[in-house]
Amino acid sequence: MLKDITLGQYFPGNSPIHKMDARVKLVLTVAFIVMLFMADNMWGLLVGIIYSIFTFAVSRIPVSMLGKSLKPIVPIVIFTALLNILFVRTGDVLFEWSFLKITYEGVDTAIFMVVRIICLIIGSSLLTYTTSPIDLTDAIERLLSPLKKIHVPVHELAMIMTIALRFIPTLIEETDKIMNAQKARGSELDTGTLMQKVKGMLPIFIPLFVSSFRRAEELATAMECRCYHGGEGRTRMKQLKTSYRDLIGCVVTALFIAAVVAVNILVK
Amino acid sequence: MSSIIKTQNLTYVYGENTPFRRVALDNVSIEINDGEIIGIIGHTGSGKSTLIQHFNGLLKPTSGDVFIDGEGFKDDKDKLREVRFKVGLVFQYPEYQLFEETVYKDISYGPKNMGLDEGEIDRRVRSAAELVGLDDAQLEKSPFELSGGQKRRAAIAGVMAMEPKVLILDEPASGLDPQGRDKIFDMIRHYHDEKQNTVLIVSHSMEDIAKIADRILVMNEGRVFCFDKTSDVFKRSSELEGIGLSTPQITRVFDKLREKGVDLGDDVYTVKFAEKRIREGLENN
Repeated sequence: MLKDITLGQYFPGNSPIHKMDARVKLVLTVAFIVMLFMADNMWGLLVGIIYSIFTFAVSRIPVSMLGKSLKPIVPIVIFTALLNILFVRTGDVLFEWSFLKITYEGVDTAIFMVVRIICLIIGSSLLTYTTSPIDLTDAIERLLSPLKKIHVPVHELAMIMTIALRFIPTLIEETDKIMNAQKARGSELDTGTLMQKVKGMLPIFIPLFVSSFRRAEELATAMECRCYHGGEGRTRMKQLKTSYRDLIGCVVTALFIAAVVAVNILVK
Repeated sequence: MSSIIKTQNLTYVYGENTPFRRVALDNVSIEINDGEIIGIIGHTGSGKSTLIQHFNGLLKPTSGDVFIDGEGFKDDKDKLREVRFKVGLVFQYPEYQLFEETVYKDISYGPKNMGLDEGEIDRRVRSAAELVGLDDAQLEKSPFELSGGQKRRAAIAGVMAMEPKVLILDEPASGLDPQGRDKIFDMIRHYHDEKQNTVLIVSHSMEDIAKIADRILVMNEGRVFCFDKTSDVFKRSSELEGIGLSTPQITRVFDKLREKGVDLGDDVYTVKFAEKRIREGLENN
């Protein structure tokens, strides 16, 4: 049902990667993406694949979770592959039929692109699997804090993100409850024409909006009662701390990037 | 008497095949007779709410069966709808489900979904409104203009107007002031007197349940702890306290009295009955 929707797809665990500083993880994920794009041949990409497999193994996230995050991008992968196979027209011809011309190079590029996209998704979902959404917004806030100098309301934006994330499960639960209540009153949510379906959603949306406004007001009052007045001079209960783990993570990633560069130079 | 609700080895598991797997109902087999008032009590997370959601098909058993009026309704969509109309379920804080422009329209939402004609809908809305004590002027108001207790009663009327054979209320009085509580329970009793229908009330307030229920189902950790006549359930007050439930104040007073050597019986659970017992006790001495 509704509860199965995982937005923050955080998967609680106790691995070294879970314990790393969210800021470092965020930066390393970006570094990993750069690394993938630096690789200009299959061997370089192989280094990227090894890196993804290695980090995934260390994080001890079940492989089934990986399937879940790859599923939505299957159409994109297929599209990219087809595009490359059909429209790269240079190189030795593998197969030709009327206007269709498939070349070895086209197939090569297609495989290269597909592997790159999959690695990209694995790498970035590893970040969201091992970092709770709250930690992630914290990290973003800290990393963006230099922007405060040019009057970007970084703290406020991060607070908005945190509140939004915090209330997603609450609202899902609430929607579930209201849906059940209306179902108990005989509403049919999934039958009828489009117009009827839209009308059928009203008994759910109206109470949901009403309660969202109520919650917003209550939350604002509660925050005000505790003297919240924005980010100025605010300290944190949970400090982000870097440790030897983060150093190891950085070194490992740096080595892999170096490997990619080396492969790029050696294999021409 | 015939049984209106029957469950056989009903088991329900939340989040099967995930790290969050939890057995909410474990082998529950009960039978509820037509026309009874049943109180369902238990701790938070004891499976009360999960259980009642099986009675109108909102949840499907992981294993086991549920029979309403002698009929099972597994996977049969038409039957399921029929069951929803037969068993009216009022959720906790039902006022949060109100959505129409007027109270009248909101109460008529259920009957309309049943496909009744205008005249019948009007009759049902008015009779339900009368049962819960809402007058004509209030029926024309927006539900959001009513007070908390009135909203609650309007929402309950919305289910009553469907005239279900079984009315289930989940914590109908939670969050109301003492006066609002009394009003809700008076209303439920009034409804039962008039319709002679089956009523199930989920609550963790012993006092409220003791006053109204014929039989009490005590749930603990997803299992049936006991299901017995009200007086028999409260006889086991020490066991109830063992699973973290309290007994009505008056029962505790009589338990203490018995400890001190004044035995006035172990089946006292309402103040009225206590008064009678004390009078009898005084006369006998």
